[in-house]
Amino acid sequence: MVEYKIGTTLGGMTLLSSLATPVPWPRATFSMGERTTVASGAARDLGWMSAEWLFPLLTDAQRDQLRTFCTGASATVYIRTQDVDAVYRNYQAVLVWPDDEERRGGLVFDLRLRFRALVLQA
Amino acid sequence: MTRAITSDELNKIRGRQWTRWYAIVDAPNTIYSATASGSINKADWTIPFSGGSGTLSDCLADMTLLIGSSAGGWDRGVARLRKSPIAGTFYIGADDSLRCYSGDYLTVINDFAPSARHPVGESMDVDVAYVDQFSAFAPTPVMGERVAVIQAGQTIGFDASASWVIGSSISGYAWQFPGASNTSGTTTATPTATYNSSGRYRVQLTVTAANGRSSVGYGWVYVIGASLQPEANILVDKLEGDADRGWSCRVRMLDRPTIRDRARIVLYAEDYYGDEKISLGPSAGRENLLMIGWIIGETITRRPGSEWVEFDAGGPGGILSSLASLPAGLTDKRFPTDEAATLPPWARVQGLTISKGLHYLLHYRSTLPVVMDVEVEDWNWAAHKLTANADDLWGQLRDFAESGLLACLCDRYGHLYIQRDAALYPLTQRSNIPVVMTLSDADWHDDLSVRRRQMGDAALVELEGYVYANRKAIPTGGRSPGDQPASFGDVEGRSEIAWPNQTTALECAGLMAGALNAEYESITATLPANNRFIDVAPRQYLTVTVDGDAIRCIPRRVIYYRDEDGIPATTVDMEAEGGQWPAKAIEYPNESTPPIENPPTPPTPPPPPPGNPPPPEAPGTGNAVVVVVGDVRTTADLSATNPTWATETPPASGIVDSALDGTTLYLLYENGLWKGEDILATGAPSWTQVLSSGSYPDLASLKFLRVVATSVHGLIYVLGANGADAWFFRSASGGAAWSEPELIAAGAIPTSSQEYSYDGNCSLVSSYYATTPEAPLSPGGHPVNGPRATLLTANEMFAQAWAIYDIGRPLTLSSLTWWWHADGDDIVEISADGSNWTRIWYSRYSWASNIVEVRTQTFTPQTVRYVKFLVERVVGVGNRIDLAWFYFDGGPVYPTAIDAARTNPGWIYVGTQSKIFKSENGGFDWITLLSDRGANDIHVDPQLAGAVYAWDSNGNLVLIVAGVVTSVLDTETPTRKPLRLARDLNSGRLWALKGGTTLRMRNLATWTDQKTGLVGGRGLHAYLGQKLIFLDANNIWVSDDGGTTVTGKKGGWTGYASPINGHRMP
Repeated sequence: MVEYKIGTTLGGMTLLSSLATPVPWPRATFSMGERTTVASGAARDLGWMSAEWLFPLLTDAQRDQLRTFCTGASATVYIRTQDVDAVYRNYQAVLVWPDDEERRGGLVFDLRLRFRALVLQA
Repeated sequence: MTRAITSDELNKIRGRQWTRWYAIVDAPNTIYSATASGSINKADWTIPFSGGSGTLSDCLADMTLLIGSSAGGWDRGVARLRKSPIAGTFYIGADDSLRCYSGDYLTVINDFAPSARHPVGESMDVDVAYVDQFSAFAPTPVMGERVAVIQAGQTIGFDASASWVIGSSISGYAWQFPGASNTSGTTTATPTATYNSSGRYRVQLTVTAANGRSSVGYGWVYVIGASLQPEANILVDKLEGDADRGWSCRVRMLDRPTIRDRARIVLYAEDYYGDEKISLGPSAGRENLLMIGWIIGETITRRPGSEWVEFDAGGPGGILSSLASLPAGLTDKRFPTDEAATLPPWARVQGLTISKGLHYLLHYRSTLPVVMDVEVEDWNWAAHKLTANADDLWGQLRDFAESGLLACLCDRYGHLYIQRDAALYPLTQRSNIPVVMTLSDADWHDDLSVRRRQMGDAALVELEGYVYANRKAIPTGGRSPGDQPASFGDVEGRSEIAWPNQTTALECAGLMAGALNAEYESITATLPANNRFIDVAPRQYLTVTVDGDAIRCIPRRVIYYRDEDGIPATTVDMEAEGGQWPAKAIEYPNESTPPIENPPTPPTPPPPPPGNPPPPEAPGTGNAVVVVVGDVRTTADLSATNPTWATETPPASGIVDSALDGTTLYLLYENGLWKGEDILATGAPSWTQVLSSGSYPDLASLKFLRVVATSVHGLIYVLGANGADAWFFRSASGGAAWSEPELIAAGAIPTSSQEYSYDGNCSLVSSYYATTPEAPLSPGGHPVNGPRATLLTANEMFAQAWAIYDIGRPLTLSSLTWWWHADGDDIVEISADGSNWTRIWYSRYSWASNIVEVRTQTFTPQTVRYVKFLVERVVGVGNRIDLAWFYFDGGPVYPTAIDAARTNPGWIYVGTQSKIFKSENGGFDWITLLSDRGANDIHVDPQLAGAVYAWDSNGNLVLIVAGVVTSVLDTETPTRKPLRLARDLNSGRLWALKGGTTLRMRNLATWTDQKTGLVGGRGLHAYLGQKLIFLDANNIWVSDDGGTTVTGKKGGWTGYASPINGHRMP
């Protein structure tokens, strides 16, 4: 079952489909950080976990709905998204709002929300 | 703080991780604000103020005072409160760049900044006079770490167990945690405090030393929460630490916040290992700390539409490099530079060592112990002088430290370590240096760069300096690998090192050569890890495997990175540990004394060469002065049958010795020397104190013991004691000026309890119906010098009998033990002056029993010189009182023997209980003349400076010539009373008061008893023509024929008692 959620608190997360202005499911990706190989050949993930939600097409109202969670360049939010194992987990994250939105005729194209510094929540 | 990483920590560091960095730019709250009512008074560095908001008593010494033209501003300057203010007056540190005008705003903020303290005149920090700061050293508080960043509700601990003090021990801790919700262990070294509310909290630690001194240090706890948030819009992506100056970083702030100059900055991290939020670091409770520093530079960048400011922040090395400081120098008190006699007290240190020098810079030339943890490794290297010519505090610390081959190293926490660098650490002790971790292939990525030496860096290492001992700085150095350099490299050298010995110089030269020529010059590794265990301080190792060999390496440069994705990295530049090369002592031909700026020439006057003696003043026929414990009297009528003695009313009772120089009389007390000129003039002289034990606070509990005037007018020698050490004081100007005290011998005076017995150390000075000696009655086993008895036999009913003993000098006693067999009312009294008695025991006789007992009576400690045993109402004719012995714990047996040659007053002899010492240069250098015996009285032959007579501690009157006991002239029961030997200039005769009971004259190897029946004889002086004067308990004895005829001259002096010394006058 699809469970993408967002909120300003952990307990206040809401399914995107249940927001006041429902938002469609995004195309989500997840990164465990930057992979580094040490001298022994072992791999190590460094840096924070990050996720990205890509919305190919939103209405202005849907975009504005998401914008309420990040009125500036970035904001701390809570999300529920799939990790690399396709398991839904809750995270605290810093939502970075894109600085180059493509908007035409009341529509927003390819809105890419980046969630950085993910911290897994119990 | 450093330690080895645990395996659990290592697993985390080798796993998935990220980090986020934060910064707190310190914004202290205002403690007190006021308005200046005038400008800075630069006479006493004060600022008058009026009005005022806040509690003035909250303004603490060393707090920061902002002076501004607007409220809270500091455009006029940032000052330091050098001490707590009083109403209307702020006391500030001297700084001529500060400005202040009437009406300016004065703001005391809740912070303490690293600052220099400057000498002003002969005071430090404007008005701190030297008192005893170099004898009772202040402790240095070390709080574990001074700063912590926690979340509300957390508990933080401190550990002050590394606090230190020179020459004492830490005896107490007193912590204050204002604002804490809960505390524990606030009087221990390891307290804790819990903070439930966010904010910035001051922590105060007062450490007290066993020597009574205390010091205060301050730390800060930043509790993150609603009331305290880290700076927003801040970017720090790199911290860098190097071994030379410690840690630094550049902080970019994306707007232009108002930040106080030189504000403290605290960088901390939020770290994740896997999904666990945890920080890892060496210091408990501070794992999240990245760096503590101060803003030391600022760059403002403006671009169209934006601007930002970048601050350079540095740790202790950075901020101290910016703190201007006047030159600093210290000289050992005993080092006889020409200047030493006039150096101000703040420039002279008794027993100067590197750590004492650093203590001076830390406590009195800076505020460092107040604001940061400083630990000094004490290798106890003695220095004759330390000089710091650097113009900043950091340079001065390094100058002093390098004199002891110490390095100044700072860690990320703002903790300053002054310690031996790992490369110069003795090989045999290197196992004590923590190995933080072994770097393996699981730890680095990219390249591991190993720079291998093809050629050594140092062909020759020369470390030169001095070994300072016995008042001489002897040039000492080590050269490695030897006189012939290695084939490659430069000549490396250091100078002015205060070596403890030649062996250490060789060791260190070899270690430095070994380090500079180690096979692996440097190894650089980049660790893709958030590894904050590695630091450039304190001393630590990492182990790296190169070509199959595990090499211990010293981190010299460490850089922590993080990028915008939270990716951490650590780069470490290491220096491979070196070995130890051979070394050879540097020879300094024709250098018996060190080639130093100020050759150790004794201060004035140089001792005159041996030669014709200055003839002693021939006594006239009629004048004399007699000194007793509480009185001084003169007569111009000594030839009279009953001379008249005029009182010269001394400054006080308690005289212990006297010396006559012409008509100037010197009276010695345990705490000072007084001078009375023209002693024969009508009326008592105007006594002037010319020497005071209080002038030597470095010599705690100093007592003066003997004074000698050598008949060279104005040349006065005083013998003193400080604990177990015997000291010598000299004035060549009649007491107007004194050279620095010279240590005759450390530990020369046994400080263990010393039992005195009446027959061994004391004289029977007065008695009634008492005889001594009698049959041995001591029960035995007690360490008395031969069992004797005083027998008191009553010849009538209810008779009285007594015996009064003179201990010989005032002692502070608190108990007395005696044995007696009494048949009467038994009374024991003690007295300081022989006149005023304190009864310590009274027992009324019971018909039913005789009293036979050993009794110890304790009493309030008081000065005692005389002990009286009194029996009243002896019951029955023929009944008797047997006093077998008494003894007491008299403390140290102080030396009483001193004399100087009349032919060369630079030759001086001193006897202690177990040794005899000699100086040939006016008391500047002392050698042990005899170590198999001490002496309680010494008399230098008036014609031969190398010949001395001494009542030695073995019970012999000996003649010592050129350091050899050539003759045993007489024997007596050991006694410690002086002033019983005399020889006149040309008669060849020697007189002695044997046992204090008999005047004996030795002529042509034959002794003749000239006068017997004396009681406690002392104060014997012989003059040209065999003229004598000596004293006993009952009379003043004078002879003009060598003792053939001895006449009592007490005359009309009623109350004569407690004799000290007699002098016949010109």
